[in-house]
Amino acid sequence: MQLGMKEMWRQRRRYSLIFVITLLIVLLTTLITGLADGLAYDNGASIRELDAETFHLTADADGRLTRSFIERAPTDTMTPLAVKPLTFGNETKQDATLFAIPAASSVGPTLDLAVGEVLVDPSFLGTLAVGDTVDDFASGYRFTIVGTTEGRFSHAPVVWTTMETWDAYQQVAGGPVYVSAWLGEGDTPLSTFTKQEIIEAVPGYSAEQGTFTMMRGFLLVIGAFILTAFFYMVTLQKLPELGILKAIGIRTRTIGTALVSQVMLTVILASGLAALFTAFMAEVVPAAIPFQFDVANALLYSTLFFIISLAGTLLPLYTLRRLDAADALGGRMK
Amino acid sequence: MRLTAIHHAYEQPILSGVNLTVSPGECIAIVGPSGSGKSTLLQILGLLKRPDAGTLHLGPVDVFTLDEEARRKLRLNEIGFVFQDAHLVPYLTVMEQLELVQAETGLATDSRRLLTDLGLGHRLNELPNRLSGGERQRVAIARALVNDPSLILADEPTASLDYVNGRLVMERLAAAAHEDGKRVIVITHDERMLDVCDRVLRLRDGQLETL
Repeated sequence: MQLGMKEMWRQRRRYSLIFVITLLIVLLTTLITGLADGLAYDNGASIRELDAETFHLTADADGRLTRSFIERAPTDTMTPLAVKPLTFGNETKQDATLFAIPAASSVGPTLDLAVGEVLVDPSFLGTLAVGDTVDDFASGYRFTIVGTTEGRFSHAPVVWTTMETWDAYQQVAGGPVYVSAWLGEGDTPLSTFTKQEIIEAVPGYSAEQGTFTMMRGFLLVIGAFILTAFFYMVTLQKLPELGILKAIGIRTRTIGTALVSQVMLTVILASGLAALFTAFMAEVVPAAIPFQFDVANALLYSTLFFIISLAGTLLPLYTLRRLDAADALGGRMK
Repeated sequence: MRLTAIHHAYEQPILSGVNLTVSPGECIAIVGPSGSGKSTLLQILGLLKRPDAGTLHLGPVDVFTLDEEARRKLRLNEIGFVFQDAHLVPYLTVMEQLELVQAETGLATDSRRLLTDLGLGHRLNELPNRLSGGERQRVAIARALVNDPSLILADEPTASLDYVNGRLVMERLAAAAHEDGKRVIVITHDERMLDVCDRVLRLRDGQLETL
């Protein structure tokens, strides 16, 4: 191992090049992961923040809150949740999702609100201010903004209100009186979903995350290929030198360990620096860009890259193992 | 060390029944025209190549009956190599070149003293690219000696050196035989260096003859 470290340190110009390339690839992976995590959070933040793990929806809703229409029935153990995308329109139109829970419930934000009052995500405010009113474009129901609380759903701001306001709104809007889901444990004729299943059913969530996962996968494989190609080329360049080492009796394991340790150090350093930079980015990017640094994900992708890169060392290791010292010396001991 | 009836051919026979016995403390020079098979012979002596036929006894064992790992250990512990261009590891200092071999053998030879005896005491922490050709070749000799081998093989060790440095190298190799009791076999084209050896052999038509 020391042999490999000494080589890297004393030939740093050669190895810094591959380090920079590796760092950029890992960094690209972690930045994309940060964006994917940010978008994933942005897509289902309001669901994620709910203090409930079990959701009961109608079977035909396929886990989509906005497709589930349940006749409201009294229950002591479960909490109703109503979710409806609305277009608000005063001077300009703005999309948001209305979330309603009972005022006394503890599953969501504290809602000490009178009928018609709402709390909105800060991004909803724009030119509006606390105290302003906004109308539902379709029904004309008027809501009064009395405060802000963070909440996003399907990349749109969430407007939080109480069930009393939801009922009042439904009377104005017409149509059936319903809620979207019951939260909590209990027997219902409805279909049961976990929180993660509800998040994954948010429109666009799976397609979006699938795209990012594919990008990350390709980046990992491309990175590992580049790393393998580099160390393979370096091994080929060093064949006469490695032949000498084998000729004087140095074990293949000693030489191979040096090679593997070089790959390990390159990937570990690059992953560490990339994680630090991504954590820094998460702190400095504007709030408008959904970006999150998740330590577990950074570790996961670093570990995957590490494993793929180690697999990539099999080729140069095979070359090393097959190396005939006499051939490497060029047929002559010169 | 006893080499018996060695035959080897590439497209044509290059060694045809080579016999050679080298005693401890003996320094032998092998000369011969290019393509006569000198390097092939040295590779066979260095256990880097198996001949088509013949035996090589280092002690009671025919080394060609051993597997690759056993031959590697023999190379490490019993044979010291000196190559034409020294072939030092470019990223290791003079001292580390020897420590690399010592780490494999576990032998606690005084490498600092060995290098000092070879006039390299002031160059211990230098990398090979900062040494002269003569210094590099002396480091290669030290590397060959550090595992205290019984046999030293040198292939054109003076080819890239001027006369003075070449002479120093040859005298040090001869001293390894005469003072330390090693068996030393040197392949050389440089006739000015032959006088330091005890015997000079010519490889011609695939066989060794005494000059």
